[in-house]
Amino acid sequence: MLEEAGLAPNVERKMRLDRLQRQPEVVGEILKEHVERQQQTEGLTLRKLSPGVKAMIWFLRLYVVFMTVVVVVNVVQTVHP
Amino acid sequence: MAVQDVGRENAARALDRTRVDNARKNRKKIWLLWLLIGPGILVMLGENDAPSMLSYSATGSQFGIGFFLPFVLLTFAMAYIAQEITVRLGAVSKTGHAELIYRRFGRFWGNFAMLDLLFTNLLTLVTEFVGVVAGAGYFGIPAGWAVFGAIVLIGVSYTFRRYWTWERVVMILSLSNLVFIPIAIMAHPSWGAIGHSLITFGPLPGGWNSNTIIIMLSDIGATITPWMLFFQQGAVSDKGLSIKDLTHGRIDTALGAFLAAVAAMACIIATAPLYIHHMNASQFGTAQFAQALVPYVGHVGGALFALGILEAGLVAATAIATSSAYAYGEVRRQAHSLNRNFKEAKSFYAVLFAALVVTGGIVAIPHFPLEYVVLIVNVIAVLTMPPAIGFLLLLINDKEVVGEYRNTWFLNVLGIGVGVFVSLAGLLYAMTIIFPNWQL
Repeated sequence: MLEEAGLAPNVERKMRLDRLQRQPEVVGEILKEHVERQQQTEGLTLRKLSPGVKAMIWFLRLYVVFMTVVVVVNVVQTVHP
Repeated sequence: MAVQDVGRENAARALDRTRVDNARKNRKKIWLLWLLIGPGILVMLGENDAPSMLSYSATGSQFGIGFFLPFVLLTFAMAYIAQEITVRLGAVSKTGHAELIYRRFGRFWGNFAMLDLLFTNLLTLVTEFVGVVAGAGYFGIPAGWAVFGAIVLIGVSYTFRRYWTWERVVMILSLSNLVFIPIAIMAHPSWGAIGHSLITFGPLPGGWNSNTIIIMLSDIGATITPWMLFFQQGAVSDKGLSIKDLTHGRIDTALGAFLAAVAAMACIIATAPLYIHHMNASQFGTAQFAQALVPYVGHVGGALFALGILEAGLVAATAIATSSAYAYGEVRRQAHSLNRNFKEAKSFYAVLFAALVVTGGIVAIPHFPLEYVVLIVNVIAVLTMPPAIGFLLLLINDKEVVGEYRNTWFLNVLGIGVGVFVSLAGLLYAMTIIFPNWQL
């Protein structure tokens, strides 16, 4: 299929983007893995979070909030020593 | 299988894939490597940005050749551990980091991740323009013109409307980060001292105090930041890397980490004469570093240093603005690819240029307290990193997302190790702020 569409190695340099744009079946063949994986990802739904994972994410979020306060204190100390 | 919307994005990706497949089929190993490298080198050298180089300069001038030289190597090893995960996530899911977080953890947690990313990105972008202005200032170019010139130059890199061409142009530009190597050689360092420090992790002049901890945190922030995760996964997906390319993706990331580590160490070595000659560099800005180095590295060395900072700011501004636009496009489910033209991906390019123009404009405001932003930007980047690493590890262990490519127990130990290290460094920083008299 690739050879028929002019995508064989020896003619690769001559290939133009617009030529490929007119050949959806060739693009589909080349990007088969890409499209399949993308469709798989699009089918993903929300994962169920266990209490442990939830606690960890909340802890890390609170860490950022706490550290933001610390940075603000640091900046104030630097500006008004 | 047919691609419903061929468009420019898919056609360009198919063209790139054909070249990769042909190179693999014909066993052209070097050509194959050239085709597949890019995101890793870009992200690592991009992270050697203006505030990072300033942080390394402060390190060299305040601590000389010692503990921080091998420490920087260690931080890049940690950066590799985190970034390699994004290669797998991008190549397997063909999706950006922000989109995966939204899909698996929902809007609530996704919004927090985006808030961290956009906040740190905007702050960092401001400091990139500070670097551009300071570097240009060394050559007598006014701030306004430096910002304008930088935005135009960055804009030109997007006119190719091909991810591949943009990546090559920015990657070649980013290699000028290695300019710090000749500057380090011009400083005539003691190679014995360099070897000794790499083996012994010492000396550490002044020991552990609040200044040492801030410099340490700043050096960590100069290597590991949230935007890198979003950028590399987005770039891997936009480039169209496949599962077969994972090994090359890893080589690309390792090569980037190695080059960036060498440039960072060279910067520390280049500024070490300021420590040896007892120059008080704690309040130095970029331009002052370049000028202060002239007696030790000559006018050429000083000019190269200023150029290096300017280039670091330019490359990072491009990469960080792109990472913001990728994340925005992923979350809004709108076109987000450098393979699309302006008409096809209006919001993607609008976000990209809005980020550049707003942050560049801030730098051009007279009397804006730029030095404080530069001071804290790396620190903030480190402090927002633990949740980012948390999501990264959850995603790479998610069987539904990556299947058989999920982390092994050993990689999990390394990943958790990076997360714990970054969190503890942040807590150490907090202790020095809350208890100023506290000593280790």
